Amino acid sequence: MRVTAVDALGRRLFNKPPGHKLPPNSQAFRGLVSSVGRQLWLVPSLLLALLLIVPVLAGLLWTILPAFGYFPALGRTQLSWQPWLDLWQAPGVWPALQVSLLSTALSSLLALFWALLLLAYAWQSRALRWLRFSLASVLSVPHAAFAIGLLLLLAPSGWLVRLLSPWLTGWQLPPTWSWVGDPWGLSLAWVLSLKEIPFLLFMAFSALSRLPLDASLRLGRSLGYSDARIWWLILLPQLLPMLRLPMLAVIAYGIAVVDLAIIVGPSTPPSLAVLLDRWLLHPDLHWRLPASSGALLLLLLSILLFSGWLMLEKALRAVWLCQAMRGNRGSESWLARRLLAASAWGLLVLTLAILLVMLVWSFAQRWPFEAALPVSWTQRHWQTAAHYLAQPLWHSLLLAGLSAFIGLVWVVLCLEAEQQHGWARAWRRPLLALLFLPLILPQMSFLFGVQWLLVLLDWDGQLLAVLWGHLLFVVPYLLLTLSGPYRHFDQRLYQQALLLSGSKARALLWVKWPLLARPFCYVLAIAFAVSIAQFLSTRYLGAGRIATLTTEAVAMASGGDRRAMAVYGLWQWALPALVYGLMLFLPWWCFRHRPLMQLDGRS
Amino acid sequence: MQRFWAVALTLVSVQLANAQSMSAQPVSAQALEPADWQAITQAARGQTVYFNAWGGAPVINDYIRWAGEQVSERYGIELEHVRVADISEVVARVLAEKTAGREQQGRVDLMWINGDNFRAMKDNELLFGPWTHWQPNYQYVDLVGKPTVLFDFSTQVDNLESPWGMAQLVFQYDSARIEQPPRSMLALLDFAKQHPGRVTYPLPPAFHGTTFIKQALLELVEDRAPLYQPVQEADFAAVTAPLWQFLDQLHPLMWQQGRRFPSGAPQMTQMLADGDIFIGLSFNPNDASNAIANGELPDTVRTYVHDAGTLGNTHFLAIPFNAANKEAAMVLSNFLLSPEAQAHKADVRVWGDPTVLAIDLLPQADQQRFAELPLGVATLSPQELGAVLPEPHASWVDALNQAWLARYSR
Repeated sequence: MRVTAVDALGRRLFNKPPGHKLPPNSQAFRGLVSSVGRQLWLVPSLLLALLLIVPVLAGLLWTILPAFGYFPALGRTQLSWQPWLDLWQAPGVWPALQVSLLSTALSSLLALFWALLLLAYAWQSRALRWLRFSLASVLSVPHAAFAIGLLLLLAPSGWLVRLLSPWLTGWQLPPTWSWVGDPWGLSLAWVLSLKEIPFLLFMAFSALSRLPLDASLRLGRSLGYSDARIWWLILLPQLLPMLRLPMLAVIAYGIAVVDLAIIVGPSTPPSLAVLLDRWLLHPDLHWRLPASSGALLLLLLSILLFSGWLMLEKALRAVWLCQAMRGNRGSESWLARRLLAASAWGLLVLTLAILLVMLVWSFAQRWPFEAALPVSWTQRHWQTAAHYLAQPLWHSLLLAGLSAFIGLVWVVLCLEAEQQHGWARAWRRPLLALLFLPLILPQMSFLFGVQWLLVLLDWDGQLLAVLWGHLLFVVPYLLLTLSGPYRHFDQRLYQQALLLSGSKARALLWVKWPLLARPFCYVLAIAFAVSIAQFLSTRYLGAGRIATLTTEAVAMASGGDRRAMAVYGLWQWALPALVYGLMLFLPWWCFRHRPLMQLDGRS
Repeated sequence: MQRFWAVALTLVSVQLANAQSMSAQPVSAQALEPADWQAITQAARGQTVYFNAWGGAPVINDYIRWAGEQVSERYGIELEHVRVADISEVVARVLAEKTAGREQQGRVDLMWINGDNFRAMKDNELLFGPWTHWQPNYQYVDLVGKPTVLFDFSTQVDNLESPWGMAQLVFQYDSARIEQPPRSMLALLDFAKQHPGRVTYPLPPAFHGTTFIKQALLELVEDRAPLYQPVQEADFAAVTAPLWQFLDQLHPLMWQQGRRFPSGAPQMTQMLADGDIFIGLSFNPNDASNAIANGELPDTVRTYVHDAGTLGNTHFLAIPFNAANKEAAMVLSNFLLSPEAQAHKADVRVWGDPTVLAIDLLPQADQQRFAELPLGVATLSPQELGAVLPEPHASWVDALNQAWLARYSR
């Protein structure tokens, strides 16, 4: 009996007709076991994929249905194009669209090229080395806190002007000009790119650990190429494909960003995401319909910009190939090197100054204009915050720690399953695209659907629900940041380990995953920071009952008390900074006796 | 993929079923017997009330924490203050719950609300009630002297929300910088000519921005009557023409030539403190005193109002139709309406939010509480505050905002 059952199953699994002669029974059974084992790989991945995809679909559904006029709770039960017409006719939509496109395209390109230039011209410089070690602190400043700090520092009434007035500037009052909020969104693009350079550098460092960096530089030099030329012709063309997905994250963030755009972006009209945010918060709930159409439009814009980037990347690589064929050795450019090293210092100093100005404000009682420092000091803001932050702090830690860890395990399993079996290659793309939706759609319209699903299941308002919501955003970031290094892993090392140990598990646990430890740590830190920064998902899925550092900080920011905002911003910065620092330190410490495992091949 | 679509379709059909069942039986709010306040207080014991309220001001957060301690001691109620940046988030949450068919066990028990948000919730049947007249302390509410406790932006309150505090638009200036503040919109225009770049107002459609526009409109029109009728019945273009003419003149003289605006009154307080601008505004007549006390503003800042009077309104507490802890929410609301809590709230050293109660209706001891409150250094006396202009009909808000956006934000 058993034999026939196994045969039947085997036939089905191997897709062989009944007449086909199967191998001897023992072999068939072994084949069955191994193929079931193969399927087992998929179980956790599929399960979690389902867990993530159902809410994404719910979110998408509740973006698409209202976009076409369906919203029964508001008494709209007929599909129509009306929301799209309302969207076109709403004041300021076209300029808002232009601002969104321009600021996103400009900021992502600026950030990328700045990061690439830094790598190419300042790789060996002390500035970049310092930046690398302190990248943690630069990266962990939350976007909104970064913008607020930048204004506290550089606004017409900011610290810099205070320090220089009136003895140098002669100003008794702050000047009436301002560099933020130009109608084209240039200042928005600039601030966004400042915040994205560290992210792209971080991703580049993680990807570079998988490239034969030293060997390439040595070989290139021996052929008489300048370092910068080796970077441009050999290393960057290999690096760019690995940065594709991080670029998608940068573009998606730029298109959908609201808080930063309110602070430094134009306001009449604002960028499209801000405009939609306003409609979604409009007391007249019918504005949700055109806002949903607008959300789909934002999605289109992201896709458009990302395809644009893919084409540009292809063109760049073609140009670089042409240049490489010419064999021009290039010469060291002192000026470029100096300038870029200086810009790396600039970025570092700027971040430090932002943290410092927040620290000073957080202890200020009264700090009038012109005074270089507060005229009276107090600890009151820290003490008051302590009343309100103990529980949110704990929630933040728990949610960020768990979601980063669960997300990482899942993403690694998925990527490994993909490499082992090329599983489901056919539907990987649509699946991945779905997983990325939470990053691209404006959160408010998307989360309405997720919230609706949770209410339906009666799960909202619980920590587990919020964890789930955070995973929706953490997992795509992990996929974005880890796929590159994971897919570019030198599979020969794994095969060698498999040959020697005879066990997949051992080959993975003792060779492949330790070799990937550095990217794992990097992305874990990013995932942690992503979870810490979640605002709307925490709010919506926690039904307001799960307060985190970020929800408290956003509420506080709406009141505009700079001193309280500084306290909350510093707390928001401290947690991810700690984790980033730990995750940079851990691989360095674990591999301190293995020089080849260090990033630049030296201990 | 098919499986996913199957799931999605199931979800849609569930939703459709819910929508139908909802339309079949309209929201009923009469689950509780009104008269028996005793029973309500008893049922409230042990409940946790999730109070969704704006959480941007440390002083207000501290006041709510104080109230939490009080109701916990006296009524055995736990108060959880859900600190939100904008109450519309909460309106959206209640809407999502209704969309998903949750008729009870809602996650919001009490919310701090008024104006457009109240009207939207009332129109979409998202509110519980009428219930506010069941509160024992409702008898002290000043229904005569403060008509806005019955008409929230001209929308009838219908006992669906309980009055919590009074607001009146006031302006602030630094007496160390300027001697005479402009006491009308036209004077403000002259002031802006003398001090180019030092005047601004918050960006509509944010609440404070719209308020400034409405104030200007009320001062500039010859006949205010149409403003208190639905906007559809008025000749909008003709009525608002003087407003646009005024703003067209004012904008080029404003901060950033009117290309950029502060996000709200809190940002204007900051800018006033730094000297970026010379005139700030607020909806709380005690704001400046409070900000002086905690160091945000210099102690030379003073408050003033326009000669023609300024807009005033009331802010309220409402219970969503599906709140899980309605009893505790009502008991908390009743406590917040008590002379003790209202007097504590009106203290400038605490929060400085004016009371909704009629002082002369109170027992002697409670009258004393209010009499003993210190007047803030920058607080105006009731005589100085002058006439309160009632808010125009709520339908004007959106019409004005849209017209403003179409003119200045495209």
